[in-house]
Amino acid sequence: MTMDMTDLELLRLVARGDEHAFEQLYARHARALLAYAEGLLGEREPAEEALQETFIAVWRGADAFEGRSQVRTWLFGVCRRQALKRMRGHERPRPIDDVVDLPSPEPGPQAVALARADAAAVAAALRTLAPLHREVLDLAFAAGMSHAEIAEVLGVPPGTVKSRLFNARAALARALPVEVEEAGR
Amino acid sequence: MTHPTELLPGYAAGVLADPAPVEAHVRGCAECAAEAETWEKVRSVVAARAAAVDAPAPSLFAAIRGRIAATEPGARPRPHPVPRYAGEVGRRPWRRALGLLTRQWTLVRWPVWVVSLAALVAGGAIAARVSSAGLAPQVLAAVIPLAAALAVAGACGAPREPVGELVAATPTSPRTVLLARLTLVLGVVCAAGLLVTLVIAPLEPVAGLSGLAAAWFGPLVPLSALSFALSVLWRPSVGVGAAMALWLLRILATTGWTDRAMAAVIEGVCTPGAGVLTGAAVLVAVTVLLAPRLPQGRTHRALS
Repeated sequence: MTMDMTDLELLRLVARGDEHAFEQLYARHARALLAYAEGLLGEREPAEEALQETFIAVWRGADAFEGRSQVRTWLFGVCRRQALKRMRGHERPRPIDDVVDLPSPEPGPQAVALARADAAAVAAALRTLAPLHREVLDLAFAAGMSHAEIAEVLGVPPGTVKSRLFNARAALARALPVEVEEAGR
Repeated sequence: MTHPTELLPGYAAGVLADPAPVEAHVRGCAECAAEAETWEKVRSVVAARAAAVDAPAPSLFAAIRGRIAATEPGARPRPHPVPRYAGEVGRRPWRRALGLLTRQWTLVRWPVWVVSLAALVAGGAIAARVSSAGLAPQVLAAVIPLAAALAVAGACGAPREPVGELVAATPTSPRTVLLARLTLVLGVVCAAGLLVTLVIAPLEPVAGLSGLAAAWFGPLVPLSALSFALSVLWRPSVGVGAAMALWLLRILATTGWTDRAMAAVIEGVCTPGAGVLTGAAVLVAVTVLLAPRLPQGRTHRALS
């Protein structure tokens, strides 16, 4: 019965203590949340802890959900807080990075370098990105969220999401192996 | 169309509400096509990274369940466990009423009692000191209504309202519960206020017992009604804020710092009379009627 329900309907049932609805909600989102947490933390074990804490918080706080955001963005927001708690101070996404990296909406050599680089090189570069950049890419391209949804999860204005995405791509291009970047120039 | 550069990440992710114009532009613009291709590369790499993450093991969900069960035995966790509300309330009307009131007593959190009674005791002590100057009625009129308004806000608009538990345990409607709580809080504050008045009365022969009691009961009625209505219908901080504002205006009016017309209105509201009592009763009745119907109300959420 719970299979066809929306996330919101499931969450309302969870608020009343429905364990089946809770399991259903977990089945729908756990994998994406775990991938997001692992992307942020870079390790499996703390990401699993963050996922556990997320769903314990969902069980306890389901009746506090006010419906101002979508259930999915709310879940990612809770998961994000849990993941950040497990990060060491210097790894935490700092909003100041946005200011340092001014957005470059014009297509440039970086874009060309990325287009020419092979997937394995880009994947390697992705691993070196700062959490701030990795997570915005994850939310946009792995979780498939709109910019408005990402803005809600991160608690920033939608304009910041846009500039952060461009900055993340620029950082990705900079992190490519030198010969690839030079080949693109 | 100018270059839709900012839309290209969303276009690559497939989340644009209307991708058709972007698609048309990209087809005719080499620059944007290259951009889109780059975003597509980023998308595929990021998506592949996420897809390569192993799905959570079944043991993970079992662990979540285990931790929930370990910390909260029983069905659903409650932020504040409701103390001993089970059991028979009683059948006869007076016994039922008494049962309801005593159960409210256990549900109203202790800071509410401590803060309001401490305010009353302090107010009584100050009134006793200034009684030689004939100022005791003013002090009581300032302290007791404020204590009542704060207690009403704290008890009737508590953020973690366990009304659901109450209703589950008794065949009592949430409105009755709310009214019982208001009655209990005001009853206790008024009784304590009367006690303080009795102690002070011999020191204040001019005003006398009835004069002293009237001095604080007058403002207590509108302040409590206002605090009750706003705390239940909106939130306790708003109830307290409005009651404090009225209280402050009254103080300013008695010191002559407001203009005369305003002072006359405030005095009218704060003097016990049929009009004020009826107005307060109507405000309380409307609040009690509306309380379970609030769309975002705590009472409603607890019941639904």
